[in-house]
Amino acid sequence: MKRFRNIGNPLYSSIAVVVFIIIWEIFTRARDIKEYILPAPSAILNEFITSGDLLLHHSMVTITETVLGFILGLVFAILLSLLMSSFKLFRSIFYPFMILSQTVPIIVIAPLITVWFGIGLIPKLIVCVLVVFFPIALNLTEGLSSYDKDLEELLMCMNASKLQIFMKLKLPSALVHFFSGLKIAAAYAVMGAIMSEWTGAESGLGIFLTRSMKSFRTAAMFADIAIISIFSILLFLLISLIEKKFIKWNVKG
Amino acid sequence: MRTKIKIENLSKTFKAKKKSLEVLKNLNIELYENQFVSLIGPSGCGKSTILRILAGLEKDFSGDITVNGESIKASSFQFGYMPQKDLLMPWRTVYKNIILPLEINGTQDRKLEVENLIKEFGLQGFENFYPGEISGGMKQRAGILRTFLMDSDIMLLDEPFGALDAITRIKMQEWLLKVLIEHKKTVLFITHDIEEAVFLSDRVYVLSDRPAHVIKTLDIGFPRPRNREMLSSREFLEYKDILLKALL
Repeated sequence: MKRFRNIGNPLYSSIAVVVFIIIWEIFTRARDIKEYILPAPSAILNEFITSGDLLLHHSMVTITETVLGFILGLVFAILLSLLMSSFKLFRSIFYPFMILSQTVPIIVIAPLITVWFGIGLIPKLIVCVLVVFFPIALNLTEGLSSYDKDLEELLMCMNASKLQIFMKLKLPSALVHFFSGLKIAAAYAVMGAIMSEWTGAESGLGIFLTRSMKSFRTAAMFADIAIISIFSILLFLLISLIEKKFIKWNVKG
Repeated sequence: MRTKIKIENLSKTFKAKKKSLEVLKNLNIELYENQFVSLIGPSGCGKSTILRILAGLEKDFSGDITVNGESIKASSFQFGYMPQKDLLMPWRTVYKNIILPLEINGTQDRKLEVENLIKEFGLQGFENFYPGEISGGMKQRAGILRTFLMDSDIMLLDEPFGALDAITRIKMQEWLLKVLIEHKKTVLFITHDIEEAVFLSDRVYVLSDRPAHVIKTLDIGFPRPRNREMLSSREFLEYKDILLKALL
């Protein structure tokens, strides 16, 4: 949370955003810039109103893909990390593959997944899971092995069982790592969903974006981008909020 | 007086690949009931290893160790062991850290007793703080109280005051003596501070450099309860001198 707090006073940055939007509006009006090059903020706002229903429809599709994909990836990552940190053999077999799987860019695999699974929800979920599981699994696996070995010995002196050592030492030690993995994964999940839509879909914010681009509706593109950004930020904030509930102690202490 | 711990001809060699390191060699130590015994010696001489062997963390050793007349290889005696670092869990409050041994044994219905101990240990008001928010002295108190709740009449303390400043250290020493007398504990204490050893102990063992063995046994004749004035008495200086000569 330290890092998050260091972003600074939200009041000042809010004022900066408002000032930026006002300058933008004045600039586009004064120079009479074509709307398909750079739409004025008022034009983008207008787009929100006129294409509201359409945007809502596409947003729901992408949000569903992202959230479901994120949750699936999370479950998959947790299972994988638990197995890897519990069984040495499992870890030595699968850890290299896990790292290797990330050296192939997902963007070149996404079309293949569309070929195999069509243009429905399933290929989006697969791409999301592929991008989400890695940062979570990596951080959680690292976290689960980053506990204090001396504390483990002390617990052994107290006759703690393996399960107790896991619950009282390994799991809490992993939390900080785990949440930083979650935050990265959240941003990846949105990207994964949009990318997967580009390789084939009927609806979604990614599709709306490319369609708007092809018909030179730049204001609609801006509206689309705004929704994607806000959604990403909200997802990040939600995870930070949950993190705050779990990690109450001062990490540096 | 009843013998509590008897260590006879204890030897220990660490083996790592081709190298082997002899840490303890024919070490003999005896502790009576309710006695406070200190081990003092050069750093890295293997003092901590002795406690680790007793606590069951090092299984591979030669020699005989008996606790209450039983070999520790046969029985699983639980000591109140406190390692060198304070080892409080940063994600648990002071209170939750203290009751960790009770949680593990599944006995949590001792609230009143724990509350009284918290008062006695001077930790009241700090229960809901996290370890990162309290001073070094407070952390050691919490660590010792947690060791208390491991419910053993033998405490193994590994340099508990090593990281404290001189003033806090003296206060903690006096406090520790008071608490230990009230609770009738047998203590094996590691320190590298000669004054601390003389002030606290009934008996001091001086260990040699690696491989460690006992080079001097000194019984401290000061009566209990002890107070700070003893630190400047002539006898105290004599004891200090004997230990210093043995060490150098």
